[in-house]
Amino acid sequence: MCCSHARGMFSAAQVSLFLMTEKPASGSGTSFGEGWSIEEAVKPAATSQEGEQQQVIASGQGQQGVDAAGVSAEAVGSDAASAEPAADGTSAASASKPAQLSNTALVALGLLGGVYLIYSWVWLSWTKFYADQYKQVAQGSGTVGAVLDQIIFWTAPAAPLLWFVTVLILARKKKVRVRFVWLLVGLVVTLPYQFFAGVGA
Amino acid sequence: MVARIFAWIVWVLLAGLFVEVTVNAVGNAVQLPQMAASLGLGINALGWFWLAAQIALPLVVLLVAVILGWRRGMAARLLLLVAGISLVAAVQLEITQLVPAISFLG
Repeated sequence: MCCSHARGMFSAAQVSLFLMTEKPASGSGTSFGEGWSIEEAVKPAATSQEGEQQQVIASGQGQQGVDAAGVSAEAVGSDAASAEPAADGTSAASASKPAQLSNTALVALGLLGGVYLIYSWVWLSWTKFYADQYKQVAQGSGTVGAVLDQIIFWTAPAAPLLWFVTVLILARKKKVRVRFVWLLVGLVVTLPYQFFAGVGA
Repeated sequence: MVARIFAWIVWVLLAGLFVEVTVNAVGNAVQLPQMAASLGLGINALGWFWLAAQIALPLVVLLVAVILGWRRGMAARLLLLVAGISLVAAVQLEITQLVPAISFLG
């Protein structure tokens, strides 16, 4: 889905690091730029985040970029702040392809996917823990119902990842904002609360 | 043609998982008061709430999955059902593990 832009996503983070550690150089010696230019990314990297948002509003991509930046600014820590200036600069370059996700949205999606992955991992460890508990408590009667229960029980860790994949596949034709709302709802719903409560009753 | 039938059979089986979870919850809701009565206790309002929630949850999720998948392809519907059953399993685990059974009683 985002194959052609995945390069853009990693390149944005790489370029931001590149720009922060070196003086802005010409775009010729690097292999990052495919489809977007580093010159455009140099300007936003130099400005503050407010300046970058004004630039996003001024650019043709305005609405989507601001929404995605607003949502991702809430959902994301300061990690992505350095990636955003470079990423939003490229949204001007991709204004000719309005149907694709802006780079900011892609970075936010990647981060959300990472959080969902962490959820699934935590769920898996807790499910193994509960499975051990159940083995001690119930000897496993072996009836059809018990087998089905075990099967259902073991699908629980897949819930966060399945939610993520389902939202991305089903909401493909909807606005970016709708997708992010569903994904944020999923963050709350699939959160492994036992992680915070310790061992339950 | 065969593929469509097969897909629908899988769909029915997955929906059957939802029904099975609901049936288990109903059985729970029937047995728990009996067990409590044998201890001389009743089920308080909070307990009824959780018992009802455990019955309603799979049905609500199944309904939402069917509605969301109404005009989509078969793959999307199956994906919705699988995601739904894992969500139901996850929330059920949380309810059974995090809500102490003692709070149901009295």
